[in-house]
Amino acid sequence: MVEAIFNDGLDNLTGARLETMLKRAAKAAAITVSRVGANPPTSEELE
Amino acid sequence: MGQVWIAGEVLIDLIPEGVDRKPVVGGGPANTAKALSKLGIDTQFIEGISSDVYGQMAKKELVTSGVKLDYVKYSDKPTCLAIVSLNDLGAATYEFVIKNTATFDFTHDWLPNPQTDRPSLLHIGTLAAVIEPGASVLFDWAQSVAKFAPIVFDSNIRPAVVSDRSKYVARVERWLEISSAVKVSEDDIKWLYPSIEVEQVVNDWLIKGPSLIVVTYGDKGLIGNRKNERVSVGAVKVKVTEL
Repeated sequence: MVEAIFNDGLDNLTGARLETMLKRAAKAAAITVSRVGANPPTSEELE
Repeated sequence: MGQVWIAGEVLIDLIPEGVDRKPVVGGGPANTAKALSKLGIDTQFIEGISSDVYGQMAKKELVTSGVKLDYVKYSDKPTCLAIVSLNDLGAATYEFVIKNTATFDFTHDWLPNPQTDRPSLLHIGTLAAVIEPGASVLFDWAQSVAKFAPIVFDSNIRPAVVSDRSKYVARVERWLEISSAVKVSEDDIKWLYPSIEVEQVVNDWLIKGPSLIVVTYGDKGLIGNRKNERVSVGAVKVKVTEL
């Protein structure tokens, strides 16, 4: 969410952009919990 | 390119391992800082870090992820410890050692000046936003940051740190008034407001200030809520690749 607000601006985070952000967040969360400790993914891993 | 500021705790989770406990660097804001930095965003972490062995661990882990520590206040006070216990079902409960730690030692004399240093965004949470007296110092400071940058508030409720529900609600709700966006879990909302529907709480919160509230529903996914819009996505399943 912070990444998307930083890149797109909060006012632009609606509709398709909001959905893309949520999907990316869901994927990042899934990758993080699949690992031991808190080891969040890089941009490449989220593509 | 601008810079993101993350304010809040980095602490040590003592996680059960056999009859022993293993120290692991944790804290919601620290994890957010690591995540953003790994995504290539210029990230400053604003926090007190101890010179003890746990503080060194925390510092090393943050630096390894690329997080900048230019504003960190180093001190000889100890690191906050979160003693984690797991019940029969694997659910975690926490006991925190908080008093007189470097971790929650927020004071006005070392917090950065938003007027001169101009962050693009401030992310603030999770325990540091509610544990006094530091929380009120952070709140005063964040009000000055809000003049220059949007604030993203991350709740992450831990009843072990503020067991009085009405106190916890008051400490969370004041952040809503100065935050542009909020991340909160369904469980957090249910603990704070046991007798109100989650959707109702979200609508009430949207009136208080934030223009976006993201609610996470564990393995059911997450919902982005704005005043006139509600976007829901399912959770993603990823194969466990490391053990």
